[in-house]
Amino acid sequence: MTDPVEFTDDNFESEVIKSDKPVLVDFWAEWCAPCHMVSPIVEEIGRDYADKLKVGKLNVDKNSKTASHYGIMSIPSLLIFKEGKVVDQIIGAVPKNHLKEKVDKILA
Amino acid sequence: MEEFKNPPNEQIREILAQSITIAVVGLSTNPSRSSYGVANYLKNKNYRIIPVNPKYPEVLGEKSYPALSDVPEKVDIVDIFRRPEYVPPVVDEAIKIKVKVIWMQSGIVNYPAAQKAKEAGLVVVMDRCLAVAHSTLM
Repeated sequence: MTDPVEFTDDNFESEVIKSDKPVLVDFWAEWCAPCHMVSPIVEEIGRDYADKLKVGKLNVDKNSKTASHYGIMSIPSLLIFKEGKVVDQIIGAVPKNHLKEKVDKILA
Repeated sequence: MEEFKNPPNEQIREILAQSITIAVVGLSTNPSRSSYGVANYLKNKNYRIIPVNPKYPEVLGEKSYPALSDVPEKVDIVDIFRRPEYVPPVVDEAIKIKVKVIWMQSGIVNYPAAQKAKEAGLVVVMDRCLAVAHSTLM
């Protein structure tokens, strides 16, 4: 079982931008109720795709530099990075199937 | 109708720095609702929160008012958590009580209401979370 990685302003470059695998980043905050609905789904995706996809979370309150850089205006926001670039973005709480479809498309 | 654009981050930063009182329209007492989380976040950042919701006598320990026009003090920002079709009457009241900023939360978009507010001299932000803006910009 792989727990989501904790992304921060400090490790974002090495963990996300320079990652060999595509990365799913869950931008969240403690006070955000819909974020707590999405986080178990993100964790499941992390387990289901453990070999192909890196999955992690970034707390916007503690890492505002990165959140601001990517223009995060609402949370939860899920960004998928491939070779250092954002290739997809999902805003708001979504069902697991919807997220899986997006991930499958990127990994195809 | 001219194309709508949210104010630049610099202006939003200024608004957040200068504002004291935020009326939260549609604020729920339910901690699992976004409105509660956002208002609670802003209260913890020392903004004065005024709930506007006819359903409750108080939210987050603050007296709740049935409508914006019932609020007996000066309001800087009106943060709206209502479906887009319920936004126009809120904007009308906001204009009447002379607020400075109309802020429609993520997923809430009403162009005619935004246009009307802008024409009345208000700053309008749409489809953006006020707490995330504070968290990422301040």
